[in-house]
Amino acid sequence: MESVFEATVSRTEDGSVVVMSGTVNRAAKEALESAYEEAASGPGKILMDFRGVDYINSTGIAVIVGVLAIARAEHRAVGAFGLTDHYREVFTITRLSDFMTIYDNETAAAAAG
Amino acid sequence: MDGFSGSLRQGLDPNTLVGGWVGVVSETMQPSSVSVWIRNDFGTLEG
Amino acid sequence: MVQLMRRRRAEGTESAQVEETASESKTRLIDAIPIPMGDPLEALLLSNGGPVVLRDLEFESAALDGLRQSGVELVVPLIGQGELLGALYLGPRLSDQPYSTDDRRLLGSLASQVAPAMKVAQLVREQQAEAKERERIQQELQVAALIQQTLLPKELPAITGWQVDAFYRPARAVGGDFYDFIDLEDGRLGVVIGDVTDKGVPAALVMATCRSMLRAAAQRHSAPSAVLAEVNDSLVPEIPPAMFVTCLYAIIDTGAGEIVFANAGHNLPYVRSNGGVIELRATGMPLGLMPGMSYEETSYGMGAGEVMVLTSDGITEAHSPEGEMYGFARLMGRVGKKTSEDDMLNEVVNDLEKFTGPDAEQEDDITLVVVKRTSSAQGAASTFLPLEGGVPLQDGGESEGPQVLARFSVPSEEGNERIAIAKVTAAIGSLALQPDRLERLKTAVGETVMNAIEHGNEFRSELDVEVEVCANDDTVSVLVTDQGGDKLIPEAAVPDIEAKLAGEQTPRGWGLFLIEQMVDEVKSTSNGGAHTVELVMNREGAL
Repeated sequence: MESVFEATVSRTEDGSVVVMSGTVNRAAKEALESAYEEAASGPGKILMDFRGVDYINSTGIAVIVGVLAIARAEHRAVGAFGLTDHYREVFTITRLSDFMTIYDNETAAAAAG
Repeated sequence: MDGFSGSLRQGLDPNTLVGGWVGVVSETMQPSSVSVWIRNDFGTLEG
Repeated sequence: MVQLMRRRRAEGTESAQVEETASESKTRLIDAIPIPMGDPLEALLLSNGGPVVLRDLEFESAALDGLRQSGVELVVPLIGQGELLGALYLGPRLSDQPYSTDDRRLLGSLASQVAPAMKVAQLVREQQAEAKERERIQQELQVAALIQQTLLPKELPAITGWQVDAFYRPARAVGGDFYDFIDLEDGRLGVVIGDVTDKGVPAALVMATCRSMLRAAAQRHSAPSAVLAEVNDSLVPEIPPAMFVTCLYAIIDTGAGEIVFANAGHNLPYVRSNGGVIELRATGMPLGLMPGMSYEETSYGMGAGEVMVLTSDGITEAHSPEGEMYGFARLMGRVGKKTSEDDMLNEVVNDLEKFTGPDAEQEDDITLVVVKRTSSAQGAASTFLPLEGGVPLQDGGESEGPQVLARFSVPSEEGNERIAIAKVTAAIGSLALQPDRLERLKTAVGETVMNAIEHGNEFRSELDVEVEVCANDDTVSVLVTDQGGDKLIPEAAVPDIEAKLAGEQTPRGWGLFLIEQMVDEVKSTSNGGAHTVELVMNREGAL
């Protein structure tokens, strides 16, 4: 049932993308935080790619909040794309979207300054 | 001959046994022809 | 069958060389002539016991003539346990020297050593083949059992006013019995019982095919006869020759109490009616034999307290130690008896076990499905059985009472909320909730079950989280019960994301807030050790 969470980092022209797959729950904490650190070691904005994520629960939201807290302390801009309509709604309800820009897709995310 | 007796005691598959038997007989008797018939309901011998 | 033997010995190069020389330049290979049973030569060889020079023989024998024509001079019989197992035929020696008495003694002694070894080698080979075959059969049985277990229902339908029970016990060789429950529209339930001729993997594969064909056809046709006719036509080209499927398909209108069924050559159903036991009849050919069959349809209105019993022939064809068959009459008699416990399923199974005796190996799969109408009250919400712990349900005085769509439990282990989400999604699939509302309900179910696992049952895997899904015309409800005692769910505070991001608040604490945001109503009750959260989602704008 549980799909293992994985996160890898790829560099773009003006920043980094944290590409995630699997389930975002409390078990994702370590992998997501170290992927964030890797992304944050480079310059530019950080994008989180949710296209490969099949399930996010409240413990996963807590993990994302944890990452956003680090980013905020470091004054790093974080964006996200690839969320389903439902999880966009969840991100809105939880106000996560106030602290990370949600883009419709990868192109929109890359184009945004 | 001794080797063949040994293999008889060890127990071998039927093909090897018959082959050994024919071999020993050919060697010792030097016949002009030799053949073996094995009753087929006794067991299939694969060639 | 007969093999001409003139092989090079694998071991010992010296002897191999000798043989090669012999075979290539001197020794001639001849076709082995059989000595048929009853031929006078056989009798002679058996009575003589040792090598026989053909020249000395004077009797009529086809085998003897053949051997002489082939130039055989000496026959060395291979005798084991008084039987002629074979013989070695030798032509004259290359040296033209006759075979001496010593030669014949040596040849006889060699043959007497070969014969028992041959017998042993043959036995070993047979045993090896048997062991291999046993292993293959064992593996096949495991595969067949796995297929069957995977496809049989994991849960029984829970329907207000009805009690449905099933019993399935595979024989060692795993026959092809199966049963299924199919959720249909308008509070109807499809019930399938069937039996594939043959056993093992082929039967299990046909069963799997037949089951999915039945499930698909059941959604397309409302008449059981049409369902069986379609499955029959689809199965004919798919099924191996000489295999077929007996099958009974019944549709229960759980509101009106009417059962309509069609029958493809399966055991007929018995009903313990309020006026005695009756056999319901409907005729039809088994599935998969020939296309274009039609199936008779029979209906019966079940009154309160009446029970219908569906069986496979593993029951009626079971034998007593004396060889007597259990039979239809005995089954019918048993079904007709009403005991104080009124536990039809176990009573039939116990009676069968008493009949076959304790040591009997089960000959065939045994399958039994029992459908009882416990109450004929319609639309009365009070007939709905609450969960243990007494969860108050909406009064439901208007319209239809809630229908239980599913009831299951998951162990209190990390991640099991996703099993609950999947099962709830499957249970409400036919309600056609709008996709966004469905997603919200799924998230709410996940969070609620997670809370129950983590906070209610504190990850104690021996404790289950119970989930019940029900629906009425207006709402879908999911009830999640844990054993967390009397603690009531706290009001969900709005988590302060600013404080969380600033590290002034734990990043956690989203669950309850999310649940409240996702569904239309959240109710929480405690009763004794059980704590239940009920999620209510309006069915407004359902597709």
